[in-house]
Amino acid sequence: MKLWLGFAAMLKKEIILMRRYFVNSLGGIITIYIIFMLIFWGYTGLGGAGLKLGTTIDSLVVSYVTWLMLMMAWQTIPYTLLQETQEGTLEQLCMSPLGLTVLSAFKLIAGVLTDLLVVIAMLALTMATTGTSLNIDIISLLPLILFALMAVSGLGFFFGGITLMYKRIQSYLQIVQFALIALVAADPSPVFRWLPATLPSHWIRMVMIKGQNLSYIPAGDWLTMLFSSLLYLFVGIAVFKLCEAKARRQGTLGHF
Amino acid sequence: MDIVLKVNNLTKTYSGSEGKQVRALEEISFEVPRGIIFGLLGPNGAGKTTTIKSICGLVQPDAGSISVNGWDVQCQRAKALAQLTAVLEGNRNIYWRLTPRENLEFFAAIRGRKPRRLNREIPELLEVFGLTEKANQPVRKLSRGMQQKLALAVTLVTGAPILLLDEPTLGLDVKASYEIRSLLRRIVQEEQRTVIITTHDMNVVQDICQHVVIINEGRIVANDNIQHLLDLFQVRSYDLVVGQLTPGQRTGLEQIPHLRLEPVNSGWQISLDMENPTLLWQALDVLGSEQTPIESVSRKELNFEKVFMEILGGAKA
Repeated sequence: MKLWLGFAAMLKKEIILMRRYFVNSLGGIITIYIIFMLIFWGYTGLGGAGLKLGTTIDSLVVSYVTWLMLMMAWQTIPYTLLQETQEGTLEQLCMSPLGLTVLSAFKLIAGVLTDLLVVIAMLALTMATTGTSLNIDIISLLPLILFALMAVSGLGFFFGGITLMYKRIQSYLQIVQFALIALVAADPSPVFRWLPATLPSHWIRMVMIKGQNLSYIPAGDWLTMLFSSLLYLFVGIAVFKLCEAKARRQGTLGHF
Repeated sequence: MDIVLKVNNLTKTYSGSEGKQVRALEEISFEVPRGIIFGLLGPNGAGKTTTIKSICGLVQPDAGSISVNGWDVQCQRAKALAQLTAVLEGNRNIYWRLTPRENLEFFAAIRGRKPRRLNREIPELLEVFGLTEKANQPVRKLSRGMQQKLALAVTLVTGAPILLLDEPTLGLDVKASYEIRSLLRRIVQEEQRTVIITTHDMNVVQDICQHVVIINEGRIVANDNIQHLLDLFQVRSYDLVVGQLTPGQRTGLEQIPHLRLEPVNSGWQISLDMENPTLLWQALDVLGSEQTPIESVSRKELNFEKVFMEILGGAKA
């Protein structure tokens, strides 16, 4: 069976729904922007005249947009599964010969691609509002974003699996959103650098704020990012598959 | 006979609350031949849904096997699932925010159907199901009947030869139910696909099914051709309308097993199940003792609902 047909179907569905519910999508973007502005005003208010625009505010913009991108990516799978269960379509996806894991991965990639438009819009908006100037070096940013997305996708699969088993876990999913702030903002100490997306987020800041490029990243950091991202992704997928198998044994796969 | 589905010794136990084990299926086995409408029947909680979901690979049985067109559902999952499609939640199995056309395109694509063929098939399907005019409206704006028809159309667009439909006419008005039944007959006759339905509507069963399996408390209590089941019960049941009975006659008749006595305008109606032919003679002896006139004798007109209840009653006894 051709995989691209399944992926094209998922992407097309995402684009159709985004266009059809454009006002709703726009409302989401405005809400995210308002939240950023509240943080920004609070930050500048607290920092007063001592705040250095070139570092702290730049860091706030980059961290906020990185958090937004990773949050949208990680929650795609659990929230989609929750929605599909409520709508009664999950069982249809499970019956596809492609399997639920592959379809969830397609949905994740399609979601990331469409969400990227929101992320880019938000970056432009926040940069314009705060008057910051950031280094948008696509070549350097792309692998770092990929590592960060792989790690949080692992989290997405992990919590997607838990969603398949227990369904009513929205309140726990919200906690992860806040935990992501810590993961993105944390300093890459010898311990924290192994957390999902922490080291890639650090290097995204270095590229965008300090104007560094890929040659500045030490080999050890490359290996850490590669190894930890793959580890989180594969552990997440493994947990997802185990949970799916357990839900099949319990007969609760499509139940809400 | 070409068998498309084989269910062999399927057993499933669920863990209930407080660790209590609930046996949903107990070694059930049956086969479904190609090109018929097959009814999987039973009261609520009998095990129908567990059977259907096991066939679809949504529930993993504890023991037993299911093979679909020769592919084992557990071991050769993708190949087996490519052979079948299902509507398990009626009109909820489709995306309400998409249009009928978009739903058909999406579900065909995730089943590996190529777009080139679909360009011709989808308009045809929309036409057959009377959805052409609504093809570009979001599904949430369609009537329930139209949503059910679309769910059925989605199963067809996948190209799978076996369709499993859980309560396909539930909640539909008479016209929509009739249309769905006609469509199912057409699918089977013209395309040689196999349809397996579960329903509580015995009129639907009698109208369109050729063969039924009846499950009760996780076990098969009947597995037969529907006409054969109707004949079987029809020849054994008679209604006699007789004149007035004396109290002694009534007592005598009430002692005969499988006999029911009901007052009617002109006298009494005796309903007799002929499990044992001597019972009829006993009843006639009682009537003959007072030379009670027999107004009419008729073979009881059974519909499948009565057959179903008789079978379930027998299973419980």
